[in-house]
Amino acid sequence: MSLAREIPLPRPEPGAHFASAVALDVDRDGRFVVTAALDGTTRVWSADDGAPARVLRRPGPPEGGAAAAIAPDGETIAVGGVVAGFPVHLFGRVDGRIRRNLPGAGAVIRRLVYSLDGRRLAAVTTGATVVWSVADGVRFPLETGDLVAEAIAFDRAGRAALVGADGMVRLFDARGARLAERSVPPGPGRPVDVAFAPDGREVAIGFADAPRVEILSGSDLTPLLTPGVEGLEGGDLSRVRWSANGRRLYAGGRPGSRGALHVWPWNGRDRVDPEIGLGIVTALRAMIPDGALVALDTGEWMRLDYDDVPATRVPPVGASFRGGAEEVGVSTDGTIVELPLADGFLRVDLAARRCDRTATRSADAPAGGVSGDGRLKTVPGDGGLLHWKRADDGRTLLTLFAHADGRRWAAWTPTGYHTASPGGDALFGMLIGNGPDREADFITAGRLASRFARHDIALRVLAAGDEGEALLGVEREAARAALPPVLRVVSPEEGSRVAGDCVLIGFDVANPLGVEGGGEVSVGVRVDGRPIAGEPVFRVTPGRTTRVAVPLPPALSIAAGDDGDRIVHVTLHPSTPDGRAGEPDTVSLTLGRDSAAFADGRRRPRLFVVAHGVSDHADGHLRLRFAHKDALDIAAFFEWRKSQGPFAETNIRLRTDRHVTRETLREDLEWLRAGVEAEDTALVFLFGHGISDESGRFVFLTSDVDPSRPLARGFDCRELVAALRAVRGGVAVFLDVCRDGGAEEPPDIDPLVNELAAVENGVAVLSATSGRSFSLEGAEWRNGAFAKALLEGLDGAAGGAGEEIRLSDLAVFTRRRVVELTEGRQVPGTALPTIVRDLAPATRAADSV
Amino acid sequence: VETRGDMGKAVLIVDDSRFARLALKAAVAALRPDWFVAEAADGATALTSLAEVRADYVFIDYNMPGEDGLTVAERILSGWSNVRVALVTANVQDAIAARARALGVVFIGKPINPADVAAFLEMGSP
Repeated sequence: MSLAREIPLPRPEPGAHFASAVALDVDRDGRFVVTAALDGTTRVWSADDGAPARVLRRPGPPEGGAAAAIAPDGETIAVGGVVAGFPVHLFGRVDGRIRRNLPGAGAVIRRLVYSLDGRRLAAVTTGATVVWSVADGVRFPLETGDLVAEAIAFDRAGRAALVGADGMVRLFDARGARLAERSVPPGPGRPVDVAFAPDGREVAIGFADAPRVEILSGSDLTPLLTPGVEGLEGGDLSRVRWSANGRRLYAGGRPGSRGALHVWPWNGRDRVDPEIGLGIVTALRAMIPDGALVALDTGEWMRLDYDDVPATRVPPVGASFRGGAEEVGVSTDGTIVELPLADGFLRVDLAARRCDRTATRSADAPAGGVSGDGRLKTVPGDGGLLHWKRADDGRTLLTLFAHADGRRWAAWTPTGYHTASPGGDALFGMLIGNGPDREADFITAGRLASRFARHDIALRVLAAGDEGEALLGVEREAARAALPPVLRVVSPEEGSRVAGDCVLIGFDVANPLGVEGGGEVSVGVRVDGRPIAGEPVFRVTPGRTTRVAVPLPPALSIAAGDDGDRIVHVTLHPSTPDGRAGEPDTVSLTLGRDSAAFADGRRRPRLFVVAHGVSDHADGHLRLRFAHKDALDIAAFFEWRKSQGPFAETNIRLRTDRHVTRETLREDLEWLRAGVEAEDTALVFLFGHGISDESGRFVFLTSDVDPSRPLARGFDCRELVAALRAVRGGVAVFLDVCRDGGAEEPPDIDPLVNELAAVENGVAVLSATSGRSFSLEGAEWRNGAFAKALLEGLDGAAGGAGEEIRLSDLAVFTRRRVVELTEGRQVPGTALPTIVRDLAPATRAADSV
Repeated sequence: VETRGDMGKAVLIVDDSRFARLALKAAVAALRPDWFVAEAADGATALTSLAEVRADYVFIDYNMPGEDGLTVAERILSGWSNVRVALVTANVQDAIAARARALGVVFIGKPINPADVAAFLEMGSP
């Protein structure tokens, strides 16, 4: 069977919604939260901790309206979309695949609601309301005629309450016959939402354009009472839901004088106005056993506990730009933009690959939303997006996504050529539609880096305008042919508990060229981002579900003294016979205390440190002052701490100056490969010079290198990637290889950082620089700025009150400290893959700073 | 620099790296827990403090701000003939090594090996 593959489209994928979340639902047991947003995705989350479980990509346009609901049993998710006449897609929750389609509703679907027994599914559309029998897809008769509805709700008896665009509320029995019909009581606003109390005795009505809620009788719709709205000025209450026990009523909408969400306890107590932050409440659901789920137009969602305090919160992922297009600062050539935030500006310099927060506007990027040469205009999109468009005809040339963390970003052309910060190529990728009945595939940009990571092209498009577009048109077909395979895990489901020392994983692979049954694809396995014993590779045929037994390494992620369950991430990554890496998938499993893997291998981890630093090169022009000392001090730190930390032993390979050669690097990486076991930690530090080329290749300049022929004696860092990929324990690399001095132009470190951190390599990276910039050293520090910050952080300045100093702590501290030391001239980069455990290279010493 | 007090033998560690001093200090303390260990971050400080410390053994880094470690070692040996000096370094040029050997200075590599430290501390007075 051939798939109707569509032209790949670059789309953001920052791991959560970046546009307004317009639908929210939860299964009857309160295990899985489903959200759908105007970014075109539907997402499944763990209700317990907000962890992402699956992204569902519906057919049709990549963005726009979305409606979604999860069946009460939690197994199926119904997704309807923006295109009139498109079917309602029933996705399997576990594998994210479309299992079945229900015939189209004939209009754009605005809301989807399951009946409480899961047998019926209702669609509120821009036309008539449609109810299907889920089992056979037959339309269920509801006496609504052509009535356009705003909302529909079901009670336990199967009755339906419906709010019409005509301002009437109607009640239907389980067979669809009309029981009652009534106008809402006179007053401000228009009714737009309806919710049955759990016992069906009351119906709550929410209103748009006014802070108003009405309670009607659940038997005949007569008005019962009006919850007090004293002190609420402005805003509205367009969403209503009862708590699971019916003792609280939640209502929210556009924020007014007391916020966007309000709760009426049903015990006579005063109304509560929970603090949920900025944003419009777009959806509400009762949570089991208590509390509520709230979605906002910022794309975030949260779970309120019984005290109406957010217990779980999935925050917005896109930078929150304020103001309109005219507020965007743009440089003369358009390569620098400054975007207003609530507390300053986000400055993105594409040419320098820098992203910084600034307090004030800069003179080189004046506000106005148009480049100084008048060729380009910039248009902010949904959260974190900015588009560069041609001023004359509005054609998009480049799109930026800036993460809310203020560090990571990516910018891409319409074809997908891109430039990105370290870790930025994990923020977007290529969406590939498979026709109107199949879910779309998605390939993260990092997977396509070898072809599409082209900083030069991204800039050239801005400079050349339509000339660049001509180039990209030629590339389109070649780009499509280069698509790698896409793998999806279908079992076990996310969060499953593992009892043994082996887990059976089921998965599908879609063929790279869209032809089922094509050539074989190789599938490798990693656990927590690391290879497992024997490094098994499975050869599979695309289009069929394959099941493989994956042994779990002993003592995974077990820190000394930790007695809790552990989460392990099993990643399967496909590749083509010619070596192109495909889109992997990861399933997170709970490794219980009772599991064999946990019990068998509990032993204290060991630490392996490789530190190489070159100040004294054979070519005197490359001389540095402190690169060798950085390596010496790092080695001294771990030598000092070896009797105090969590590690059973510490092994150090230190090389400086003339002892840093291609051969010694290879020798020390082989030492890691041969010696490091699954529970161990390996840290690699490189200090000195490097050079890069346009293909993304990075060469570390060893002591004996000839800069005019770097490949003759330098160290090609593809060897570093390949070597560390095979190391079985946790691996982190610290790169300070762009030192200022001896080179006219700084090398580009980002492709190397992103490649190391790719899922199939699983290496955490802290880099002294990001993009094309030099790192600095100073006599006053007697180190490079990066090493000085690292040493301070390792010595206790990083992290919070805990004993362990983790890489994530170190990354945050090092970035802040280096920027401080260099007065903003050097900005470190970080890539910490989410599936890789957050290593703790050190613990806090009693005499730490 | 702390004073020696009433303890047994004394060691002076001269290195501009705090972590290098801490690592060496820990190694010495593990071998000779009752010995007094003093620290100095550069050659000038080491020379002024040596009289107070009355060190029997001196570990000295080669690359330091101000005078290099071997020059400082020469000054120490010219003033205190009963002191043993070790040059602690990861990397040394042949010419420097020859000069050091002529002075009777011992080499200890970085990262430090406890066995090398132990062997040095077992050496008697010159």
